[in-house]
Amino acid sequence: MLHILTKAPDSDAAQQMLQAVGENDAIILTEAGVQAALHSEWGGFQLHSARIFLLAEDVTAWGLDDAVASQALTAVDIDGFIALTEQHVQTVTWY
Amino acid sequence: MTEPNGLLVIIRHAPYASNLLREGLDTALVAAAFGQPVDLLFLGQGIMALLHEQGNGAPGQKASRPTMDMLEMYDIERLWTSQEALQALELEPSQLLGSVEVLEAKRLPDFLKSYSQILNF
Repeated sequence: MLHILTKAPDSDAAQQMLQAVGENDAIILTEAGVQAALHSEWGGFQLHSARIFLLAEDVTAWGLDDAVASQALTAVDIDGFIALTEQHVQTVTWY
Repeated sequence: MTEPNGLLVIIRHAPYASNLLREGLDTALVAAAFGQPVDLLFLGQGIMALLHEQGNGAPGQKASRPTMDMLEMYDIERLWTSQEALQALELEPSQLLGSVEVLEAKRLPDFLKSYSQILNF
């Protein structure tokens, strides 16, 4: 399952999403969700560091390119986002 | 694992604070009216919609309780919530509407995976 988080890491949406993420799910952070790049200790990174993506266009819009680079996070562009939605049978958006 | 099937509507916002609860319930009712199996999962503030002692609506706002009672008429019988979400609000299952089933938070990932569509309100 692909989880799309559009809210910041301290939001209810983010906390509730973390409870719902399961084995071989993926998370993509969009809109305010990209702020997680500022919090290396965010629960999401501990949970599934391998499968977390950020939407590159939003990372740039929010001015967080350096944070993403310094934490070696994976940003994908909109095509990458679409590819992710194709790889997962189900998608759920947390906003 | 059986084929994922049906719609899960997740309600995460309280009645009256926004109309997200109303929109979520309306979406569930429409899907059910078209014969799709629908279940509702209440998390966080959404659990406030499950209290059986609800009054008849905040001043100037339509009550949400009647809509909750109408769910059964559309064959939406199973309302779900999680133990941890209940404890976070210091609520007991006995304070909820009769048709609410409580599952452990660790079962949420598999629970979600059993639905083909999931909408969040």
